[in-house]
Amino acid sequence: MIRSACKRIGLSALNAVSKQIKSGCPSGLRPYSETGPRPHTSLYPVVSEGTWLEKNNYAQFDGWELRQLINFVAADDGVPEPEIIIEVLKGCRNNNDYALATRFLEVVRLKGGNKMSETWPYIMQEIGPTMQELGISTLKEMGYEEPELWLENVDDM
Amino acid sequence: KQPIWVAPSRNIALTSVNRDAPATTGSKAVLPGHEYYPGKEEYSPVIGHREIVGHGEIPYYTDSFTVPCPAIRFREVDEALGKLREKEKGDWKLLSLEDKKTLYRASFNSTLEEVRAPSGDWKRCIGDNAILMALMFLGVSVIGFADPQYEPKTVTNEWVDAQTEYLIKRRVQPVDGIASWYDYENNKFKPTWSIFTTKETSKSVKTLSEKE
Repeated sequence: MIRSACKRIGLSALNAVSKQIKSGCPSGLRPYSETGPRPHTSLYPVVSEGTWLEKNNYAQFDGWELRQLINFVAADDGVPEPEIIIEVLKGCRNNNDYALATRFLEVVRLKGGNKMSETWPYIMQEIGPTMQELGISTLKEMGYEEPELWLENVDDM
Repeated sequence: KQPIWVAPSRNIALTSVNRDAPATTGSKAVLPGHEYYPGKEEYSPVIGHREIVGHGEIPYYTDSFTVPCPAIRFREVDEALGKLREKEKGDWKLLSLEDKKTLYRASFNSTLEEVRAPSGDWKRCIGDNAILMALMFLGVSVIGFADPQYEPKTVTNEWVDAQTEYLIKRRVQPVDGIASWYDYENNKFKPTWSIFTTKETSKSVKTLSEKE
């Protein structure tokens, strides 16, 4: 049932996407052909022919590319540097998305793994000023360093 | 306010495919923070009126550490949330903590710490197993002691006595076992053997030792 529904929606969506998507649509649903060079989601350096590499402009990214970047940060092996974190937070501010900023901070904290107690204070030290500038409250103030609500696990139902 | 992008007319073939979908082509009041986006009508049978924000051909929502930013927001937009979104466009220092939490829960179902939290399912597993074992012991005891037909013959004293006689003759387990508890010079069990006897068996043990 789900498969037939997905097929129907996929068919209509494919037809819709191929005809209707234009660059500059506000949010969501873009094909990969509409994205440009993507050095922020590749493990190897990306060179666009005929141009010099521009400085990372994560602050001018839109919500779609920011989310791709954050998913890549979660998948990659390492904690991002404070400069990158500051740019991403500025990008969240430009997109008027506060929830994404807190989600990104949670990801950065949990990428520390067993060394969370060493990496997280250092990163908070480095990005504290920008967070106060933008008005983002820390995870401790939100109460998201520990679980807040309990949700039954789907595997246990 | 006109939408930024307008959908062109659809083919007849597609309308036959979408016939089962609910009627979403009627004009709706556009709440603030909930503008039209491409795919809104096609995907509404699956995701409702939630906004698509990320990558995904058929967008769905999941909470996981490996994919922290899913393709859609979690909740649909109400009037209150629409007003919050307008407030979000301004200075974030004016947002209260409650506003920030509602904004987070509107986009995400659970925090990543809640994803990592343990479920405590091991208690249920051990408890269920304990109940089943108790039922098993109950059944064996009830059925085993009710009818001598269901009693295994290896439990009767005759069998055990013949078994011990055989074992002692063969001198099995001379270091730590039964032959070490039997005094072969005086042909009786050493006093430590008394631990394993009950009133019924002690009689048969005495007769055995007298036999030997």
